[in-house]
Amino acid sequence: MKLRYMIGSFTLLVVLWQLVVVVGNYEAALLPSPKQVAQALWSLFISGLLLEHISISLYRFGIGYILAVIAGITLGILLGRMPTVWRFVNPSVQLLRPVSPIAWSPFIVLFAGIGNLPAIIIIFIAAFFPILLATVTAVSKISPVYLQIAQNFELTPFAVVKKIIIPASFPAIMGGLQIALGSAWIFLVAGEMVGAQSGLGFLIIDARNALRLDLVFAAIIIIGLFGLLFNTIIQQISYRVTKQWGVQ
Amino acid sequence: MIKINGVTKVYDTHHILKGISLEVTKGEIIAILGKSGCGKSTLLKIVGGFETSSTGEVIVNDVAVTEPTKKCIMLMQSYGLLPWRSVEKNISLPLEQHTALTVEQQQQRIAHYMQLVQLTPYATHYPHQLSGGMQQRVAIARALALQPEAILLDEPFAALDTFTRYFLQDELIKIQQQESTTIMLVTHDIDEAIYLADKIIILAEGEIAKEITIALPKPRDRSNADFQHYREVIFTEFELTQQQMIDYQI
Repeated sequence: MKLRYMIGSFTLLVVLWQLVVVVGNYEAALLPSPKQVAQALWSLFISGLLLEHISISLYRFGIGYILAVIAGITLGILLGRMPTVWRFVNPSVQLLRPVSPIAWSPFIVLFAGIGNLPAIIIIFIAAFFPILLATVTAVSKISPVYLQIAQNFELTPFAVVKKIIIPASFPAIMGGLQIALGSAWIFLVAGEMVGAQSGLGFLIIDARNALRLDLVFAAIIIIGLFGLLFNTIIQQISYRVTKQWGVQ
Repeated sequence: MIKINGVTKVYDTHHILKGISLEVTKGEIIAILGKSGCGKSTLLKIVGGFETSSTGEVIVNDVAVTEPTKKCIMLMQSYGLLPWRSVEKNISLPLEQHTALTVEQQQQRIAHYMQLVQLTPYATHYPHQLSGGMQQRVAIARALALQPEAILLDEPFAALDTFTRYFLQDELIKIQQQESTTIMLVTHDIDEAIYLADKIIILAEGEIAKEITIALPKPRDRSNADFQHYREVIFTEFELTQQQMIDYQI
């Protein structure tokens, strides 16, 4: 995504927003203008609250996402190499996968209480399935030629995973990581709305309860910007790797 | 060095190989020549341990082959290079865990084989940045780096243009003479077989139809009368018509 398109797109969005506010003649309490939201953002930043909420959200997101990456890739490699086992596991995965992580929140709050853990669990669930499915698919589609070479060179099972399976499936796994990243970030906010007393999701709920829609908008903008940042980073990594390897 | 004793291969009720027995001595290039579907690739896979025979056995240096080992490296038609590794890293793959070589010795060996296949300037290039011929040379260097007992080539130059094929055939002979590597080659190219091999095995319907020893010095001259003689012997074996022989030579 080129910077000039990004700036142009955001400018257009802000202009449209301002137009809606002016044409609709909405009160600030109902639909704050871009300027009022910018002021709210600044006040959040100055008070230190913004950084506090961002850092706690990033912490939960980081832990939940990294755990999902480790579990999803590890299980995905194992199941991708064991097609018979996967045929038994797959129906259950397909049953659980479409269930929104938020649907589990009553159980999660019941067992994990409130605080960081429920949000981390929700992020984990949101990220785990896309990574698992992408990894299983990628591993099961590795060219048999690579595995024959590994066999011919008598590579150890660990070396086969490290030197053949992971790199061979990496471009496809990256697709899963990208989907999981977006999904996890969406559910972080949702998770913080149901089981946390801090974070960007909580900030939205707290501001709504105080009828401060300018703060709600400020939190939405920050959430969107971080989502965009993560997506850009992972896209760049994927692009560089696939370009270097000549993979389509 | 390689002994093939009464190897048969049966798929369902179809007999692909019917009791093949053959010996390949050290440093020899042997070409298995035959039409598509005659079982030549199956035989090579059995020698490499990638397929099991229905009956009979393959012995490499007094050890029966039951699975692929680094003693016999098979070069696939698709080269089998790892796209995520540079030329240098592809060649280093087999050396990274097996040998008792130090890192420095590994580097020396990699450098030696890169030089042998004339790819030193391309050490950091990735496979997709190389031509088909260069990719095949990387695959050959990677196989040689392990210093195997034998290299098994399954139609190694089939996907290449004539000029690259001729160039690589010369390179293969040079490398083989330097390294004294035993080579077992499967091809359907009659000229390639005569040009490279010390012995040609003609396979037809799963059986050895003829063994021809090519008693010509290397490098060979394709326009030489003796070369032409071997060509005619093989054409006769395949029952090709006079017209087909003329077409082929054109």
